[in-house]
Amino acid sequence: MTALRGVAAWTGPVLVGALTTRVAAGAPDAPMLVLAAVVAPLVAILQPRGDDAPHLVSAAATAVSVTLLLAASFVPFGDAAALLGAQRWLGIVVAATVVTLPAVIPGGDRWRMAALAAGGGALVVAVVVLAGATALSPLSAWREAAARPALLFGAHSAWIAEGGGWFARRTTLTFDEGHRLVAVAPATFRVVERDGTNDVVRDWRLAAGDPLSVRPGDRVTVQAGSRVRFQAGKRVPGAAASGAAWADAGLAPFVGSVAALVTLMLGAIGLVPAAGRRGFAAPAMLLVVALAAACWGVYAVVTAPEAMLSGSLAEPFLSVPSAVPGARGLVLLVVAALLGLFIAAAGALRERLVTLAGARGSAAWLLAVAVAAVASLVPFDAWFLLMAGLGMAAATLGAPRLAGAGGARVAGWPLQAIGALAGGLVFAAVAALGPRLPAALAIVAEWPVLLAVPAAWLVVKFLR
Amino acid sequence: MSAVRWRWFGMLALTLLLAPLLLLAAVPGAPGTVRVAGVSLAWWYAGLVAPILATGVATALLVRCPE
Repeated sequence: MTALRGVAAWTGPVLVGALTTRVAAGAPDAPMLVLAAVVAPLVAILQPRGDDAPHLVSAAATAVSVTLLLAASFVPFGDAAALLGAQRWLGIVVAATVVTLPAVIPGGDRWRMAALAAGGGALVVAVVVLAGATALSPLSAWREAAARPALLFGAHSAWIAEGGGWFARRTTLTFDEGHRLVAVAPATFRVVERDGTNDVVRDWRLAAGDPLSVRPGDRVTVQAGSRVRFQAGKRVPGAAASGAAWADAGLAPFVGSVAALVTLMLGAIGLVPAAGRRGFAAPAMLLVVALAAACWGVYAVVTAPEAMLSGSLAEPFLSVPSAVPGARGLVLLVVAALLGLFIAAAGALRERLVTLAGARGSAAWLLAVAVAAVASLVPFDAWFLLMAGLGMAAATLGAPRLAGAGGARVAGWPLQAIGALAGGLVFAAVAALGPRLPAALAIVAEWPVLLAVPAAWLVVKFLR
Repeated sequence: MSAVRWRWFGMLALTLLLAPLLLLAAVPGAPGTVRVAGVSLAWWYAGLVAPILATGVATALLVRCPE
């Protein structure tokens, strides 16, 4: 596997979308994520070459990680279909078909590198065109966003148009000012009003066209699939209060930052293979894709600050071009870019799975695609699925490799597989018991890698 | 230096590039929010300087890897 083919597993549309939305939302961990998105796969391609002998446990662990990552990738395609007016399942079926065909058609894999180059290139061209259309360089766009006194619904926003906007998943919005929403389609809204020191909860069942007035401080929970129209010129609920608040988004909790870093770094070590001396194109590709995604997020704040409202990773890519006069055609270019990156990422993940699953690799891949497609019909949060997939890879593949499992065997079992078994069991147990863990262990419930990675590492070190 | 040691050195060097950002987050007074030429220090580092540095370091280490 060449380095470029290997890093394609990393530069998939779900990571690109996650970077874009975190930057656009002014998430406290956004700078760290952008840097980690470049550094983690670079660390992975520099890792010493490992022994990837096929084994049932390693193959199963990879299959679980790959299934979660595929589901994370399918979710935005389903969202994109819904945002473009089609049925959600249609986007998922198209995405599943696109990644299945290369596995069943002889020679269907040879377009993978072209898809990666075209996808990365198209993403960069889209950012350059956006810079031209807005007459703002990325740095100027950042300064412009940071100088905004408030983040308001854009004049071209679908959320203030007659048809309203669509919520991809259940979302709770906090309003900083009075607002009048209109239900475009029948829906139920839960409003939590602050009454002195008490919260008053009211459920409103609205018919199409019914308004809902909220006061400053109210929290409104909107169900997945609801269509809502907001008032023009008002602040975007849930967005940063101002450009300065977006720019100085505060600090992510230290332990949470470390957990995210461990997930990304060891997840990359598990999924991205080591590169040889001629793998110099891979680092450049990683840099270009990550920075293009971050730039798109900055432009989203300037042009369409409501781009994260639906909770979908796909929305910033679809709403930003329509918010910029003269850039509407960019939607097709961006969709093509994400599709190219998706084909390349899926091909790299398949190659990884086939390496570890041996003769049953193709069957394991088709099963992973099918399970991921069914799972993504539920409107899960793509970020949650991405972190779960990378966390599983970190615990079962990355940590044993980092502990130096190599090709060693214990009682006939590869040490890598024993470490994977330990890491995987702890990861699954913590994830399953998470809601029942005491409050002091909430961070472990949120990030099972914090226990699973040391468990896998210690088991390998102890048995070596 | 053996190829394995060379690669471990590279992994460590790249990982250390993340440390300043964690420090910026941990130090009181939020120095990461200080603006330099209109952009916060944290974004200058995480969005431009460190990624370019990491890419350069990784490329150099790969090309010169003794294997």
